[in-house]
Amino acid sequence: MADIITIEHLSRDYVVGPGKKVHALKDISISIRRGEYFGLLGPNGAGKTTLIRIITSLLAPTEGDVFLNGSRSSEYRQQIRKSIGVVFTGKRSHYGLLTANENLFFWASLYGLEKRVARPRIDSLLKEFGLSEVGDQRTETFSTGMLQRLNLARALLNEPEILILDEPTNGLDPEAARNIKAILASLRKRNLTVIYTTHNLGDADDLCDRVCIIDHGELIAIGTPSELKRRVGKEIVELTLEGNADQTKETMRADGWELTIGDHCERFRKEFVDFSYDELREIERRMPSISITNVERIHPTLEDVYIKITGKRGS
Amino acid sequence: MKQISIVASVFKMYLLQMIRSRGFFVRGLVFAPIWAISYYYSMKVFSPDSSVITSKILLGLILWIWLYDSVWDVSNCLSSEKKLERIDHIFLTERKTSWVLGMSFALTLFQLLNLAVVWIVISFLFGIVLSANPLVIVLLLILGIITISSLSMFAASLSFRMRSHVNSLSIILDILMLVCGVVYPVVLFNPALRYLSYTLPVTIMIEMAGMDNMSITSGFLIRLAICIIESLVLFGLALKSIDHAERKAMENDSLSRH
Repeated sequence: MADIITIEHLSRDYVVGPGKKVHALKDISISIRRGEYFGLLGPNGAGKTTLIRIITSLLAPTEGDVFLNGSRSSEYRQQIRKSIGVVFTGKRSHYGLLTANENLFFWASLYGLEKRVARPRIDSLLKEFGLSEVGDQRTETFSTGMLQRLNLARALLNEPEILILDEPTNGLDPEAARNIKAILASLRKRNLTVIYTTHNLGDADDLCDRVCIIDHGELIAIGTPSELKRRVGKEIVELTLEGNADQTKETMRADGWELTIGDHCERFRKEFVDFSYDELREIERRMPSISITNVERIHPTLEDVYIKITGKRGS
Repeated sequence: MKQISIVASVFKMYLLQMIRSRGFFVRGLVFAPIWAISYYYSMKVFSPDSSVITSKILLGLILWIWLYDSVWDVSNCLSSEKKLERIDHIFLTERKTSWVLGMSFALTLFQLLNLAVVWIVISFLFGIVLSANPLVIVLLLILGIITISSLSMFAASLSFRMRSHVNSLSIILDILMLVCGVVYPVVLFNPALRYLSYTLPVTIMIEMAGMDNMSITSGFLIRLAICIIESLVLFGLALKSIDHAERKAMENDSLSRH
């Protein structure tokens, strides 16, 4: 896959007082591939929103460059903005006294869409996001989940190549968050490149092809979720045994298995860096009186990766 | 053509919001007459016998209220768009100038309604006939709209450059009010201040309104020509300033609340 966005040695400083600077981003270099869902993870104040604002050309970097389709964003700002759709966290892009239709028409006109182009596109987006029935209602009556779906519709009005979502499920109830997640998954058919910042590591794990973790303005990890999980290294294997005697328990403990007592059987668990089923065959060979009735492999989650790398707990 | 259609669409959207917003008209219809009435009484104290001079000053005042309130309304809208963080999305559409113009036209139209109310209040309650030539009124309205649009774009530039632009705009508008002849007659100024005053199209507009009210025709056309040129120059400078302000906003992150 070709790169659609290339970020090269990007840094951004903020002046916070006479002679005092805060380094919001430090020498970030990332390539984002066309059509991929790219997750941007990091604790509050890590620099995610600053990075998003620079990619969208709303903020100038102190050093470094962003290239979109090979064009330097500082030189081709107008073309670049046309190919981007953005949903910022908590930001209101609707006017409460206008209906959903009127809101989308307003944004369509700002994007320079003619009425004959805008009408079918708005109808189709409202339908796709389940807002057709309320298209003529004022948005001040909408729930937060409905407003977020409207935000997504607005971001897709200009048929962007890149959709940037800054914590799109923030502040939503679980049902609304699930809806948004389902919509985002369904957007894969549009062949969009999606940049997704989130604190919800489960969402990033489910949706993103690759993720990067930023902390204190520095890029500290990048890769597919499974690559990052492999970096944590360990998976937990849990065995359920039957017919074991005291001697079996001792042998298992001696091999590093930890005993956990179940309701009707006994379970052993152990952390593995590189588990192989040969390990189980060896147990059966050494202790023929027992039988392994269940094997459960518990893989590390993206949250484990995040906690290990940043030392902070995600939501 | 496309720009005009975008400006028209923004204008329509703001107008719709104003019509649907409760209390918006009440605010405009109550405050402007109160200000005009108190100003009228102040002038009566200084010039109790000259109703002609008073009505000339009042005409200038009405024009000034229109301009001042329109620019303040634009400024309040800008603050609200920044506070609600819609401004980022507007910038991303690359239509910020059309957006400011459309918003400014809608608010100018609303303030024009105030102007009409002030005119009626003064004419009926105080027995002063604020007569004016319809052609002159149309000319003043067009020039006023251009000037308000320019000042709105300057207000937008300030709001893009600064996290909070309200104090700076207040100072600029207060200085304008002091030098444009609406508070103190321009003839009282020293020559340097008088020349400065005449570089403002609003000074000439106020003077032209007064001349028309007193049926003075000598020098009217030359003032009109100067006012047109000054209005267009101001508009051009405002367009430049808004683009420059965006570059500053990108450097300073002044659009963001973070």
